[in-house]
Amino acid sequence: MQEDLNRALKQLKKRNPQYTYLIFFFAAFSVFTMFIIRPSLVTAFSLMQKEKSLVETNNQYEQVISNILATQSEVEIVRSKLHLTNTAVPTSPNVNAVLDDIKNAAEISSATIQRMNINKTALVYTNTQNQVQSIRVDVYMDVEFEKYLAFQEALYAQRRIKNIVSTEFLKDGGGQNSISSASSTLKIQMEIVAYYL
Amino acid sequence: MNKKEVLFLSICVFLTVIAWLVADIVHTSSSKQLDEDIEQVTPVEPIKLDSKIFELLEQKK
Repeated sequence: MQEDLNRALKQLKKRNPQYTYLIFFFAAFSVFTMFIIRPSLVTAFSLMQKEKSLVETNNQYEQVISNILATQSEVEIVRSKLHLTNTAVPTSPNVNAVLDDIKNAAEISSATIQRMNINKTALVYTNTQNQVQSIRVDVYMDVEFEKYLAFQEALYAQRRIKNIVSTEFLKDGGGQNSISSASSTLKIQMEIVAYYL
Repeated sequence: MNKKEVLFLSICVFLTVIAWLVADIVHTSSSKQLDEDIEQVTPVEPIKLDSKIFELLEQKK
């Protein structure tokens, strides 16, 4: 009986250490993983992600810098001519200059301006959206057709950018021919637009 | 609680810890790491200036 008991105890001892070893292994490895492996791996992957992100940002910065340099070299080429843009499209309406330009074009083409009307133009303004603004001038003139063409040519030859938006041949109330007078002079109304920033 | 049950429990704990570790790594890999000190880049498009326009403006008076 005693021998049987001893044999059973030995067998139990033989079998139990396997479980004890496995339990100890899993428990120890779990603790090890939780407190040592996990933080190290998370830090490593986090640093890898950070490096990737920084490389990406660096590439973006390099792209922006190369774009700025390209623009700078473009500007460098035309630096001496940049003032021309200020004359072509000035930062203020310069209404007097526009009227002078129209008068000069009329003088060059020997056309007679009867009247000029300036449409509503804001002299005090804030151009927050950086868009091109315009001044509209209605010009009434009695002119022969050739002179009208010469006027157009003279106007477009000026540095300040202007555009003849519409040309209307007005009816004259007096004569038989309602558009032109007896001396082949046309009555013309033009809408001229000048631009500024 | 016999030893088999303890073993089963420790295996469960172990597997949970491994799953947690994997989930943490996946989360770290997928989330974008942004450095607050580094400002985000504002894209700048290159400007092309047409020199013909300047020549044309130069010819005008």
